Amino acid sequence: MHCICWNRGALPMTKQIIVDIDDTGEVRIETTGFTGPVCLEESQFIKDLLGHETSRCLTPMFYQQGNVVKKQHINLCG
Amino acid sequence: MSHVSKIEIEINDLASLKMACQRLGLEFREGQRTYVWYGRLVKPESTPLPEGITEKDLGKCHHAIHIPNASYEIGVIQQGMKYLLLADYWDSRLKNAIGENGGKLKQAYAVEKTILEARRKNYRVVEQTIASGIRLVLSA
Repeated sequence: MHCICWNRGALPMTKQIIVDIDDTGEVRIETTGFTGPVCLEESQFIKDLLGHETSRCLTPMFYQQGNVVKKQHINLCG
Repeated sequence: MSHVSKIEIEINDLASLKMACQRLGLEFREGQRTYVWYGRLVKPESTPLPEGITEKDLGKCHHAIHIPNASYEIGVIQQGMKYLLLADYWDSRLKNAIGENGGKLKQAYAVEKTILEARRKNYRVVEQTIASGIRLVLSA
């Protein structure tokens, strides 16, 4: 009997939603381990139940889909 | 990290508000129609009232929150699907109990509401104390 390991790449990051609530009642939500826009869907329920979103900052991982990194090319020539 | 959002809290769930009161050692008095405050507005021009509230509405509420050892109370006013908290911060013991502008009470509410809903969605929740307040880590 033998075993084949199909996943030789890096281990997937744990998917987490981190909610920081400070002493003034301000809430900051951070998602980790999600790739692509799924993080917005996964954390939407917290935003809906606590109030309304006042600001949002997307991070590089947001623009990833699976293991493919999307690159945006800007034409620097005239 | 995928994205970071900032949220402004709205109170719309009485069950979580009751649990927040319990967390802070406050007494939620369901159905109490008046709350204790100074009784008249001092310098009304410098203290604008919340939207939808007039001077005549002050002291009246749908529920109240009692703070042990404090003289004044907090009025919980229902406005449609939301709840508004009215308090006279002249009472320093009230202010200490719920923080500047009710920040500590809002914090406790957000913690309880998030835990309740996260568990309902089968997330594992770990609560930590951090320098700026409370951190909840939700793992799928």
